[in-house]
Amino acid sequence: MGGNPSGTVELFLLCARTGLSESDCERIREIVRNGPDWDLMLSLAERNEVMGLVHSSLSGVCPELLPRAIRSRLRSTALLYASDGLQLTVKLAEVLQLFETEGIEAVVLKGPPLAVSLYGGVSLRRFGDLDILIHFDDFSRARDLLLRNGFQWDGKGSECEPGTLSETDKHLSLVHSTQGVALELHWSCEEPAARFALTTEDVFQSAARVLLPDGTPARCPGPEEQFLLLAAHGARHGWKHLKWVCDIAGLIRKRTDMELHAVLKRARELGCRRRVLLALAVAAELLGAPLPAPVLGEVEATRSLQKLVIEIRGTVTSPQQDRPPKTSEIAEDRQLRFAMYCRERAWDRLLLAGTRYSSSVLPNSRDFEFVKLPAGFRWLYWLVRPVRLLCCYGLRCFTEPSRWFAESIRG
Amino acid sequence: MKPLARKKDIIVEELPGETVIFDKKNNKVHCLNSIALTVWANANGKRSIADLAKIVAAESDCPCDDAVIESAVHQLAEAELIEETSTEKLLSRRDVGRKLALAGSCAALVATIVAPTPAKASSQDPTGWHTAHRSDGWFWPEPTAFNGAGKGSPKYQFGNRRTKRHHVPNLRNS
Repeated sequence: MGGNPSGTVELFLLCARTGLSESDCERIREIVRNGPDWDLMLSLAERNEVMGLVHSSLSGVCPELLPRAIRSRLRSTALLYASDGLQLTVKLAEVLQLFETEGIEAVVLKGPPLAVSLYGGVSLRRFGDLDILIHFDDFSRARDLLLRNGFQWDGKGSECEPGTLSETDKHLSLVHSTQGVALELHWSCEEPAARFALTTEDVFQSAARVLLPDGTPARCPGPEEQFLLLAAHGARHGWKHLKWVCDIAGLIRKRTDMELHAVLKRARELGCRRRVLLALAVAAELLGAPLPAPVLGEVEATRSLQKLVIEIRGTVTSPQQDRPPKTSEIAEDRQLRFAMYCRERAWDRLLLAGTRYSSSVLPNSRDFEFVKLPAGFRWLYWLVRPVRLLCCYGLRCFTEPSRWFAESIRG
Repeated sequence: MKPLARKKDIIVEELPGETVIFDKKNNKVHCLNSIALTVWANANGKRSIADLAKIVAAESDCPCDDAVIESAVHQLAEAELIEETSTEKLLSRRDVGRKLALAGSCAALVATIVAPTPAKASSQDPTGWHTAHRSDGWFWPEPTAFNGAGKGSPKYQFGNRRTKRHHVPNLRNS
């Protein structure tokens, strides 16, 4: 399906806004009348997981101008989002109920409470799993409770046994054995290497109550903490999905009581000012998030951000190729570059580099799976790891060292 | 007949032009158009079909035949969104179809699927490939015409064949 690619990208970015002005609506109508490249438009919306917003915007602004096939596809995906969102909401309500019964305090990071508070419903914001933050002291009880109620370790990241958790772990990934609902049980806001000083206690203290669509109360981080968490999360993943930018823009639009210069000040204290500035810059550039003049001035004064913003724009609006080979490797490299750039202190950069490079030699959960050793012989995993890597990757360790390195960080 | 809507174990989500209802009891997702939603929202066990037709007519600003309301109630009952006890005097599917044909209307009001397994979060899906391609083989039925397809028929009972469950290693046996 042909069409003007630049107009299509503009349409895509306009439709991903949570608040549309009259001029935005007029521009959307104009582009739709001129015939955008619908294949590109839908591909971008699906890849960036903003199909719910795009469906809502187009259906609200110009339903009569949409081709029938496009309307049907938008509707199908929006219904899929709604179906997923409602299922996860039900499961979240069950888990929160279980935690409450056992006296385990929990705050829900992102997920249904974020969708409800920023978008007004779970169908507009795509989420595929549940992220629940608990106190580390409650970890064993929470894990056992979930295991008793149909969840199992998903085979990735940290294993269930606390003894096998490494210091770099921040969550346990579980999946429901029959319903397939994925749940991450967090005990820390970020990995230690992220140099993100927001503590679990900060999040718990600021937590606000949100009612889920089924009426269950859930606690989610306060607006400032939410902003900091979203900014850190987006930077960690290189802002590769527009939906994360939508969250930031939505938070700015919705929470007018949140003082952005106070957020910036706090970010400076926490060592994540550059990540917050990047989040603000991306939200303003891509989605027209309204920034107060002093904050906008600070964003514009940080010229080094512009290159990253352009790169992010390119990533979220580039036409989708089919799954390319070595994508994870590319993503890993890109994330590392992003993470490096977002550290503002030389010491933090050094630590990040040290952590990333050390993770290729430190034993991890896959080594623990490879050979089961008694507790007294755990030091032997330092020897097991190189042997396992040699078994897995063979001569590639020598012939393709960079690729091996990228893979070994993950494995 | 005075239908009574089932509101227990139900979650409602608004979408442009329609409403999604998730039934916790049987993990089914129903998509209601505006007529079906109005009927469901106002079926309190005290209103008759004629009363509901008046409400629908007032909301949609055009006259509404009782046969359409009967069809809506019938489809809602098939979707288990109306309490069984309140639908005892429902007309048979054939009778409703005949009435609709006489009224010259085609009631496409409720579509139901078994909810597919939710996709994994995108942060675990670096390319977005899994999420983007998940919807390829997935088809949400348009609210169906009243054609006799009932609960248990393939039209009402399909999910996403291409959606795979997450691999779950059995730790206890390892």
